[in-house]
Amino acid sequence: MKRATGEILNVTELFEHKPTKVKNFGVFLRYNSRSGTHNIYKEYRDVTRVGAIAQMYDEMASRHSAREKSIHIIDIKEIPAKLCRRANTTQFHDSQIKFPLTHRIPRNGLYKSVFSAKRPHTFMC
Amino acid sequence: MKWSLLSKKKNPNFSYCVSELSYISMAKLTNPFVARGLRLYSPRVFANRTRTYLAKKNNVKTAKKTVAAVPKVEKVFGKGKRVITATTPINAPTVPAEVRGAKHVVAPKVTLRKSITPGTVLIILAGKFAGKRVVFLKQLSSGLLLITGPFKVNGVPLRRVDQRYVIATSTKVDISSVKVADSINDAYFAVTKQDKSKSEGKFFKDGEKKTEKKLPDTRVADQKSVDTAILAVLKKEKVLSLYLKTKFTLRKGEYPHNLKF
Amino acid sequence: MISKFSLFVQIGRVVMINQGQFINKTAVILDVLDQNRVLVHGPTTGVDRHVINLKWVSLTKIVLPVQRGARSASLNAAIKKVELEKKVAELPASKLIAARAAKSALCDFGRFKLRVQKSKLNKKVTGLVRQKVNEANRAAHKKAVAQKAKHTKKVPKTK
Repeated sequence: MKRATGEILNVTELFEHKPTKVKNFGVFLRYNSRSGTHNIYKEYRDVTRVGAIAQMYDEMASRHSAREKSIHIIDIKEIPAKLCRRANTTQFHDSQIKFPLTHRIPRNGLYKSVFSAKRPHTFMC
Repeated sequence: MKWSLLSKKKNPNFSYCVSELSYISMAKLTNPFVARGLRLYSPRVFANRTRTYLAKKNNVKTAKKTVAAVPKVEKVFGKGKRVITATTPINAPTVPAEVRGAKHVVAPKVTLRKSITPGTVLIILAGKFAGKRVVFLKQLSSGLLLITGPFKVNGVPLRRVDQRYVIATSTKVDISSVKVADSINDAYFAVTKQDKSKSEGKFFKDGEKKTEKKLPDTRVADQKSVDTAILAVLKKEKVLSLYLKTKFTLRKGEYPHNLKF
Repeated sequence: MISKFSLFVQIGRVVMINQGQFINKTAVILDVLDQNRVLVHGPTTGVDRHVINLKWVSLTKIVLPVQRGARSASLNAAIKKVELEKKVAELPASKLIAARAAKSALCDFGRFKLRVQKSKLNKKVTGLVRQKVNEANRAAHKKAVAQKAKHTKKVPKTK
């Protein structure tokens, strides 16, 4: 953070009350784009607030080329499924959820050979 | 001057008493001052140089130097006379020669790796027989390992190898019935140097046929006696002799650090 | 549309972990975070309840009847009920892992014995194959000769 932007008053590590429970997080943030300032609401599914914020930074960087210095987190809240707004989160609100893994690339690590006579099987039924 | 080093009174830094030091040659005894209160060698280094510890270790006992009563001498100085003590000559040999020559005779003992016990199959890593699987017989006093192929199985004779150049496998051949003669020791393998100097007479003899090297009969006999006993054991398990016959190689996908031996 | 897929990411699906700390261990999917990440837990296999990327796991055909975000007790009960350990041991993936472990545990002599056995077996197989091929060749040759003879009979050669 630049000195002119602000002053660090306190640094506290955030520990999650239940780090093994999957939650929906709503993140309110403001960011400075190249042309102006925007307020944004985003939703993430994660087990920790820290994880959700990390996802947010990644997404802001990829979608908006926004660096950390131009992002101000206003608030992060755990929100119940009922109040979730984004389709990307609500689509996973299903206890009967079921989807296949398509195009799997086998990574064998130790048993991997550089050259192989066979093409890999990417379809795993 | 150097004498003064031996005196405990004059050099409080010097912790070795005279009787211990006295049998060591004078040349090694100097630990000169570099500056006031500072000697060239630390006490420990100096002890290693003088090897004073040998006195205790070899249990060398020197006869205590009997200090003869310093005779008083009347000397004439110009006109007058004065009674003074006679000075002892510097470098006076005070130590008997045989004690001075006491040498460090303790041979360093080479500890055998735990994985190597009599009968262990070893893989030789270097030299003429690299890759061969051989049988370990015993450790010789020099610390080297006495091994045999057996010669009939893979062509490796009774031989010495350093344990550094060997991989110990977990496979064991039961060699309790094999008796290795005590005569097979380090001296047994010692190479007698041949006269290589080319005298004139020899030079002219070059054209003649060289006599072929021949192993002494004792070697052949010893090899046979050891091998017959091992072969009898190997006969019980055919795969084992086949195993000893084959050379060790790394195959595709095998990495020595991942292998178990 | 009929799907060709038979293995799905779903709650209760048993997965084999292929990478990381819990490599070669099985766990159960308890929740789905997004299309890449799931919450897994393997109380009997020593896999902590944690989030794992789906790239690190492979799906097995076993599905346990558990609820989303099931607690350890109910998960344990479900595992016990279906005797998961037995089922997992029968999986081809587990067999492969066990075979690899057994192979890497072999000593030098063991590897040698294995090689000897393998070469013996290969020799036997090639011998049998050659026998079959020879038989087939002989039969084909016989047939061809017979056919030729038949043909020449029909049209006798004139000098």
